[in-house]
Amino acid sequence: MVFGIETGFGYWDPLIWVVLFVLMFIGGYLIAKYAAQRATPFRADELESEIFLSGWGETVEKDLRFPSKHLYWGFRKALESAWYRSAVEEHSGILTTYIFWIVILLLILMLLIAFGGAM
Amino acid sequence: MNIMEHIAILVVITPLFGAFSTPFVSLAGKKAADIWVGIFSGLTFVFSILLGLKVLRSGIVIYTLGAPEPAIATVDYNGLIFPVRILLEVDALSALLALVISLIGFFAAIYSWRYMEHDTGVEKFYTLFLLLLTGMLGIVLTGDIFNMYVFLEIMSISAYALVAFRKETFEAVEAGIKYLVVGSAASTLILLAVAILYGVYGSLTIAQIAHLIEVSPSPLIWGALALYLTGFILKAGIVPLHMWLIDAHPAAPSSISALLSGVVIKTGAYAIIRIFFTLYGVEVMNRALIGWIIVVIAVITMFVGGSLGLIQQDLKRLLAYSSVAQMGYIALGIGVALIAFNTTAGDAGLVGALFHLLNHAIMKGMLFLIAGVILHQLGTRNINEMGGLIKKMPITSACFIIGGLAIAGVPPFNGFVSKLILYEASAMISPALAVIAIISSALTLGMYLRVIQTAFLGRAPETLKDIRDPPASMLIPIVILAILIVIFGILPSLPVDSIITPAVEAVKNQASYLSAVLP
Amino acid sequence: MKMSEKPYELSVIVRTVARLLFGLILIFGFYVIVHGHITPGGGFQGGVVTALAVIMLLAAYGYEGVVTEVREKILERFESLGAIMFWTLGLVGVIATATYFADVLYKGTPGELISAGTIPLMNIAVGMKVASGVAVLVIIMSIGMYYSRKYQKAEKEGAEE
Repeated sequence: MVFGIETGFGYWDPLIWVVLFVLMFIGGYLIAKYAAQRATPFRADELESEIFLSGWGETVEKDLRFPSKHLYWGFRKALESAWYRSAVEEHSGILTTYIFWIVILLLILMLLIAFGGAM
Repeated sequence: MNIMEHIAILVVITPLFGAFSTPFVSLAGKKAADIWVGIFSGLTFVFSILLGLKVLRSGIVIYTLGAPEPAIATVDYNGLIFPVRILLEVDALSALLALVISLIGFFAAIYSWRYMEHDTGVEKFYTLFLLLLTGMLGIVLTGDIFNMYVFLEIMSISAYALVAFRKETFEAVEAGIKYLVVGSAASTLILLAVAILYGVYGSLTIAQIAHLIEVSPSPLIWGALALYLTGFILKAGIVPLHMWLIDAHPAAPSSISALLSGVVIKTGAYAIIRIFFTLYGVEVMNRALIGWIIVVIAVITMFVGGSLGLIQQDLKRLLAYSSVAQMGYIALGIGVALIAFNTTAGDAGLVGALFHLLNHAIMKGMLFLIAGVILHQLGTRNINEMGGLIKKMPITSACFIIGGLAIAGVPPFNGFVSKLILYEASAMISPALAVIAIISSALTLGMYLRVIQTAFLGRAPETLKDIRDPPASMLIPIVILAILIVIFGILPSLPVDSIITPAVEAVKNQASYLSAVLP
Repeated sequence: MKMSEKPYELSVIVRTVARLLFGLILIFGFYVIVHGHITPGGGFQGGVVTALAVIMLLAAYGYEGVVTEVREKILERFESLGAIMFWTLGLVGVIATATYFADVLYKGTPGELISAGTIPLMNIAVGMKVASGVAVLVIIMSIGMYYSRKYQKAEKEGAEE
C-alpha cells in the first residue's frame, strides 16, 4: 500500500477520501442538476432580481462588495473584551515591549530550567 | 578531486562563492547576474540532493575543515584523543533541512528575476540573498556550536539587511531596525550560552560536549539551556517573541518573505531540536518539565497566531501570523516528543513536527510568492482592495486556494496529514492539547477562507482591469510548489518513509551522532 | 579669525598632518596584515588600521574633500575580491586532495615571514576585505551625514525666508 500512512495509533488513506469526495461531488452535481430542471427558472430581468431589504424596495449599488472585516464578525465581537482588545494593544510595535518580552521569557525559563532542568 | 567526498562543504561554499562573485558578474548587466544567481542556487540544490543521498546511503557524513582527510575529526595529543577542528556533521535531520532550504532558496531565486525588475541595486540583493542561503545551510550542517553561532550571525545580518532592502518605504526600514535590535539580543544570548558551555567543558564540538554532559552534567549547563532556548525561540518566531516576525516578514521583498517564513524560522526549530536531543540528550534533562514548557508555549503560540491572523486586513501580515501559528504546531510536536520520548506518541510527535516543518516550508514559501505576485500585479497588499482575482489570474488563484486549504489542514493536502499526526500524538499526552490544536486549525481555516472569499472570489473592483497571471519565471516556482503540496497530500508515505523517518531516527539516536566523531 | 571657505574641513595643521601620516598608517596596516602569523595582529586588525587612514582623511577633509579621491564603488569590489580570494585559498586544500582550508603549501621555518603555508595569504585576503569594508562603511555613514547637513542647511534657509 503506497497511499496510506500510519499516524501513531491510526491510519489515514487519502485515496479513499479522494474517491469518496469525487463520488459525493458527482452526487451533489446530479442533485443540483435535477433540482434546476424541476424548479421555476430564475428570471433575471424581472422584479425578482431586484434587491429587497427589510420590507421595502431599496436602491442599492449593484457593485456592492463585502469587506473582509465583516467575516467572522461574531467571533471577533465575542472575544473583543476578553482577548482582542488586550492582544491588539500588546502588539503596539514599540521596540521596548519586544525587549520586555525577551527579558520576561528569559527570566521564566531561567527560573524553571536552571533549578528544575536537571534530571 | 572527488565531488562526493567534499559534498558536505560544497553545499555551504557554493552559495558563498556565488554571493561574492555576483558584484563582478553584474558588471555585465542585470541579466547576467540573474542567470549567475540561478546557476548557483540551483547548484546548491543539486549538491543538497547529493548530500542527502550520501547520508541515506552511508549514514552520518563527517567533514573536518583543514584536516588531511575529511573523516579525521580528532587529533591525538599525547594519547589524549579529542576533536579540535571545525567540522560539519551531517545526519539525516541536517540533510532534510538542507534539502528544504536549498529547494525554497532555488525557487525564490528564480522568482526574483522578474520580481525585482523595478528595483535598483539588485546585485547587492543577490549577494545578500546567497549569503542568507549560506548562513542557513551552515547552521543546519555544522557540528560545532560556535560555528553554528557564526553562521547564525551570517544568516541574521543578511536577513536584517534584506528586510530593509526597499529602503524607500518607511515600513521596511523600521521593520529592519526592530529585527536588528531583537535579533542581536537573541544572538547575544546564544553566544553567552556557547561561552558557558565552552567555559565548563573546554570544547566547542557538539559531539564532544554531548559526551562530556553525559559523563558529568554540571549545574551551569541548565543556565546555558535557558539562554539557548530564549535565543532560538526568538529566531523561530514563537510567542511571546514573535513580534519582530510580524513586522519583518511583510516588509521584506516577497521572495525574501518566502525564505524568511519558509525556512529562516525553521533553522530556529532545527537548533532547538538539535540542542535538546543531541547536545544535551534526553537522559540528563528533566524531560517532563522542559517538554511541558515547550508544549505550553506552543499552545499559546497556536492560539495567538490563529486568532490575531483572523483580524488582519494586510495579506502579507496575515501570512506572517499564520507562520506564527504553524511554528506553534512544530513546537507542539517537539514538546510532545520530549515528554514521551521513545514511545509511540513521542515518535509520532517528532514525525509530525518534521513533516509539518517540511510542509510549512513548501506551503508558506508558495503563499508568500503568491502574495508577491499580487503585490507586483496589483500594487496593494490590502485584501479589501482585491476581488474576483480568480477570473483575472486563474493559475495563481488556484495555487493560493490549494495552499490556503493545505495550511488550514483540509484533506487531501499535505498540511492535513502532518496536522493529523500532531493531533494524535498530542492527544496521547493530553486530549486537551489536541482540542486546542484543532481549534487553532479552525482559526487558520477561517483566516484563509476570508482571503479566498474577499480577494479571489466575488466581483472584481473597477480598478483591477488589466490584471493577468504573472510571467512564467514567477509562475513556474509557484506551480511546482503547488504540485508538491498535492503530491505530498495524496502520497504522504512518499516523503515520510524516504526522508522524514530517517531524520526522526537520527534525532532519536544520539549515540551514533557521538560515535561518528569520537573514537 | 576668518572662517574657512570650506566649513567641513578641519584646520590646516590637522590637514597637513593627516596628509603626511596617510601613507605611514597605510604601511603600518600592511605590516600588521603581512606579519599576522608571526606577531600579534592579523588580517582583521591590520585591515582596520588600513581603513583608519581613510577615516582620518574623512575627519580632516570632510566627505566633500575625500569623495573625489576615494571611490566607494571600487572599494566595494575590492571587498568582494578579498572574499573570493579567501574562498579560493580554502579551495587549494580540496584541489591538493586534502580538505577545504587544509594548509598544503610550503610551511617553512616557524617565525620567518615566508612560513605557515596559506595562513599569511589568507591574512592578506581578510585584510583586503576588512580594510575596504570598514572604509566603505565609514564613507557611507559620512554620505548620510553629508545629506543630513545639506537638508538642515536647506531647512534653515527656508525658515529664514
